[in-house]
Formats: sequence, structure tokens, C-alpha cells
Amino acid sequence: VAAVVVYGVVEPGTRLPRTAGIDGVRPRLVEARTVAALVGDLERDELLARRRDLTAHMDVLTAATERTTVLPMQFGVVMAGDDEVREDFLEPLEERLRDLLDRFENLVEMRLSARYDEQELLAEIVATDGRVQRLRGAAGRELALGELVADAYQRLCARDARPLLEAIGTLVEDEVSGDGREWNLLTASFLVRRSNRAAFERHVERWAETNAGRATCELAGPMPPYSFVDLELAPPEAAWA
Amino acid sequence: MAVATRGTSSNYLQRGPSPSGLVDVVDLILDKGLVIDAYVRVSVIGIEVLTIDARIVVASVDTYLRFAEAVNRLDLTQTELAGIEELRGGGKEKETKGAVEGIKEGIRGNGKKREKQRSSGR
Repeated sequence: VAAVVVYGVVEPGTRLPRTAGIDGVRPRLVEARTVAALVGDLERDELLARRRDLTAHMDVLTAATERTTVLPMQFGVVMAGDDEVREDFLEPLEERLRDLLDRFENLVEMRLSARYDEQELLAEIVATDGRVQRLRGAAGRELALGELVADAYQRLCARDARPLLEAIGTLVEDEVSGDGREWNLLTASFLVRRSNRAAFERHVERWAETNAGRATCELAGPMPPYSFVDLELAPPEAAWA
Repeated sequence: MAVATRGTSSNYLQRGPSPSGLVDVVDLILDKGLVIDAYVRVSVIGIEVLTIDARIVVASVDTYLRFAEAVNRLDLTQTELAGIEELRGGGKEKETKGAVEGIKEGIRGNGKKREKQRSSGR
């Protein structure tokens, strides 16, 4: 064993996920009093961001989330061995990590990606916007036409996303907008209490159904709170400590 | 990362424990999560990965021109609008897709080795 990869921080004594991790190696725990790290042995001392490695990292964390609160590490945290995990990471940060485990207890991340079907969206815009109809095909007016289409698209996004955001408002603890890709309708991560998940999903399903045929929607989760954890969230140590 | 239909199964909503697209996976685990800077050791190599260049700036000349092209090539004979729009350019709808799809997800495989070894923040 050359090094260990750190997947995340969990409660000590957590039952280990059966999922094979990076390089097919089953994850194990390194414990330090009130917190534990989910780690995997590596035969090399750095990671490659290959698809299968990224997927393995995520799969380990997703599986662990079924059993316990998980603070996910960014992909690629590699340490020399168990002693370093304890002495350079868990012990110096124990209070903050403990605080984060408590803060995120029973909270999971649900990620929604919804994108318009290009043809349907453009047809809709042409049908409903007289100015777009008039400029369509007009030589030399491409920039003006494109700007109108962009405006119409953004108005549609706001209009189409609103019913969902209103419906799930009381069911989510926090939310973060994701990147807008081409014809993005709504890409966002939601922090949801486990007990609210079923209700949350029903709203998302209903919303997806109302957009059937004009947008494709994907909902992923429950995942650990990738988009919401931050070591800075924990209270800073007192200046005199 | 196979998309299982565990839990719910609606025809309108693709459902899985993890995102099916690499772009979303990368967004979550390379950009987010806890990090101790001094210990992030990742090499980004080869065709499989990964600089995601998918961010679209909607308000840009570039985008306006692409949108205009896409909407100009839109074949409305396939839609209920056929009646109110002039029926020209029939049979072109297949080309329209390519106009915008080409740039929608630029996953650049770069041969560059990106090694982050910043000094530990705290």
C-alpha cells in the first residue's frame, strides 16, 4: 500500500458500504474519537481523474449515505497512510468535523437537471413571439433575432421553474444552482431532510410530467451534501484558543 | 452510475442514485466537497477527462448568433405552426440539431497534468 484515498467523513463505527471503491478496493474506516474517515488503500500515490475513478468515488459515498451521515471529500484527497489521516486531518479538525456531522445529520443532496428539447423550445418561442416570427429569416438581423430568442428562452426558464421552486419551498433546507448548459431549464442541488424526501420527489415528478415532451428531467440522489459542506461552516476557533 | 429506477419510476423523470452524465459527476466531486488543499493530488490526463467547458453565457454575441441560426433553420412543418408560417425550407429539420449540439458540452480531454499542491489553508 502506497497511500490512502480519503472518500469522506462519517460517524465512528459506521457499517461499511459493500461497494468496491477506487481500483476495486473496498473502503474501510480510520477512526479518531468522535469522527471517522472512510478511506481506501491505493497502490499509487496520486489519483487519475478517469471516469471509472470518479464514478467509484461517488458510488462509495452514495452507498455510505444509505447508512449514515456522510461529509463528502472532494475527489483526489490522498494521504500517506492512516497515521496521517488521523494526525493531519481528523484530529486537528475534529471539532469542526463533528459539528458538520451534527449539522448534516439526516440531510441529503438531491440534484435536478432539466433541459429543454431544442426543437420544441424553439418552436414554442417562434409560436408565441411575434417579433421572433418577423425577424426569422431576415438577412442581416441575426444578432437581433438571437437576442430575442435568448430573452424569450430566459423568460421561459423563469416561468417554467417557478411552480416547482414554489412547491418544494418548504421541503428544502437549502439550494444551490448548478451550471447552465445549453437549453438548461433548471439545474440545481437541493438539501433535503430524509423525512421530506418522498414528498419532495412527488413534486419533482409531477413537475416533470407537466413538462413532458418539451424537457428531459433527471433527478439524482440521495447523495451526500457535496454542494453544501464547507469546513468554513463550522464555528471558527476562538482567537485565544 | 447506472441509472436504476429504484424507489420511483415515472416516465417523465429519469431517476438514479447518482447523476448519469459525466458533467454532473464532475461538477459535484471535482468542484465540491470538503477539501484539504495540501493533500489534493489528482492528475487529469488523457481523453477520458476533463475540463468541462459547458458553461453557456446566454447573453453573448456568440450565443445570439447560434440561437438565430437554430431558429432560422427550424422546420416548422413538423409543428402545429405549419399553417401560419410560410412553408419554406422543408426537410431541413435534421440539420438544426447539430447547430447547437456541437457546442453544448465541450469536454476537452487535455494532455495536461493538473496537480494541485497549494499550501494548506487551515
